Amino acid sequence: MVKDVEEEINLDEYMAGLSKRIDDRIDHIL
Amino acid sequence: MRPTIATLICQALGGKDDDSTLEVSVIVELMHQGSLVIDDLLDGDKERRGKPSLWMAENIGKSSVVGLIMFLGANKIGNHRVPRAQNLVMETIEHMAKGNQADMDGFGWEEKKYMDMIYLKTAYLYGAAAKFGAIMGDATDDIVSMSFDYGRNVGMMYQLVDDLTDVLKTQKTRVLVGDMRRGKITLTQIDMFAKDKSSRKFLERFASREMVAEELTAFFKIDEKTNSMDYVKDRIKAYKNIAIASLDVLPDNKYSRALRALPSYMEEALMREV
Repeated sequence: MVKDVEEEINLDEYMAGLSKRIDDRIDHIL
Repeated sequence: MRPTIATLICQALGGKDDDSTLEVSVIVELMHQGSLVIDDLLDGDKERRGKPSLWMAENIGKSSVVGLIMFLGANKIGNHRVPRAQNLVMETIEHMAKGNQADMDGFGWEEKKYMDMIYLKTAYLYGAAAKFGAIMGDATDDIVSMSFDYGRNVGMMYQLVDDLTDVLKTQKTRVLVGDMRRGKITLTQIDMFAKDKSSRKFLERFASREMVAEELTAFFKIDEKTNSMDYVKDRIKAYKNIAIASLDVLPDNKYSRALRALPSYMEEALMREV
């Protein structure tokens, strides 16, 4: 049986994605 | 970095990556951006990341209002979206303001006063980011408290690394860089001052912005006696270890493992600039 291996988080990608979503939201608020 | 801490903690506790979680990041980022606008104004910094700072690009009045709007926006979203974190935004802004006051008042070569200042001015916001994340992840009070500890220790570490990189860049390039150029005292100089009484007059001149590039050799000679840069590196390591130990209360998953990796990731990113 093959065990599922949880893929680790790539911090570069995680932070870039989050940053874009935050910027869009702040642009909307301000 | 701060919003990343908030969302990773929330997700480590089982929170979903949805609009509510994003709002926590927005709160943290608005507080941070607001503080940068005010910091540039107070410090008279004309540039921010290579571009004119807001008060230079616009004017003092407009940048003051923008900073205020960002703080009020963070407070409004916080009260609406995270009622359990009632007053956390205002408490954080109060701590940052007191940190600015302490920075302007100076710390008289006292290490404790310097560390208190960076806790207020920088680290508290990191702690608040972690706390917001834990609350959004519906954590118990104990886990919320340990999450705050993680954040504030990462914040302390961040500031010490950031301070040290200016000293290291100056050592490498032999050109005064950042805080060194501004004559701003950080832990390296404070430790030199404490350990080498014969250099105190020289260091006091540095603090009054009278240091010139030709004096750099003498500056780094002091460090050969005091090992102050190594002392700062030891403090950075200690804060990193304490921060990571705080995460033992979180479940083991890819989000908590990313939080464990984050302090080294941040340190390496800053050190790459040296």
